[in-house]
Amino acid sequence: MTEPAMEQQDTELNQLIERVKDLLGYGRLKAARELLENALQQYPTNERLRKLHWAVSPGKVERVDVRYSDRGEEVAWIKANQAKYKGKWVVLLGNRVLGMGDDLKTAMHMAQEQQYEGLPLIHLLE
Amino acid sequence: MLTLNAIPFSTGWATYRDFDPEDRLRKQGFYVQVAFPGSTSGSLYALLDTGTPYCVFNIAVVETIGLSFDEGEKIVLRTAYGPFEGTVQRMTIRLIAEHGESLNIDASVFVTADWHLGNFLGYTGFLERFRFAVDPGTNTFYFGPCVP
Repeated sequence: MTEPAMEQQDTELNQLIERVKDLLGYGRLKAARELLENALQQYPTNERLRKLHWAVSPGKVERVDVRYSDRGEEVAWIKANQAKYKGKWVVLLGNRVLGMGDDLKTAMHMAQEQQYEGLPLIHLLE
Repeated sequence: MLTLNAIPFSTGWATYRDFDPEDRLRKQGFYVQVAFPGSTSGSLYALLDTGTPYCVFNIAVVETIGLSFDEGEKIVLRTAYGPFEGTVQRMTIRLIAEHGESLNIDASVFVTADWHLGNFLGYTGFLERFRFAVDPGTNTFYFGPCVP
């Protein structure tokens, strides 16, 4: 390919990516996906197009044989303590507070130092 | 589980909350529990929002589950709360079941460092990828893959 032809291809590609980004900015995922699928037929190895397409393509839905609690105890704790700890992040398992802090990192760090089994609930108390 | 024309419709169900447990004054709607497979963070409540294209999570949650703000092409998302700059990324979100089976769903997530408005599960990037039904009488959210 000649240099002017390559420059024109780059320009076309950049314009196309800008159109895709514009569609994504308006939440038009399906239109963006269609545009990307057409573009990938023309430029199948282009990394920018491939990454954008990966991000918006439906992917997989898999059944997982695991269940969790309905969080009744955690929600009851939140109702009872929301006003007292307003603005704090909390990590709860049942009515047990595993961690609490002004930011989620602090609350998670505290929780990681505890011994527990199960998946805790993370919450911002507002 | 639910059936439709004698064929299984859902494979799991869970109780949804019709207020945001984080802020009772915030928008009312269907709040369901989700988690992030591979992350040790925990579960959280997020609003099912058919008016939002993507899933969007509070900045603190994004940091905790290890998503990068710089991964991918920058876009400007126009929302009812104003424009937000960020990237669209793919990640697996687990829709939590109390009965039956949970679902791991590949979702399109809008990642921005400026989002402090709660956790949202959007339509095109998440909800349209599986079946769901709601029973407001019992606050039950039924779900399953499109092909059980």
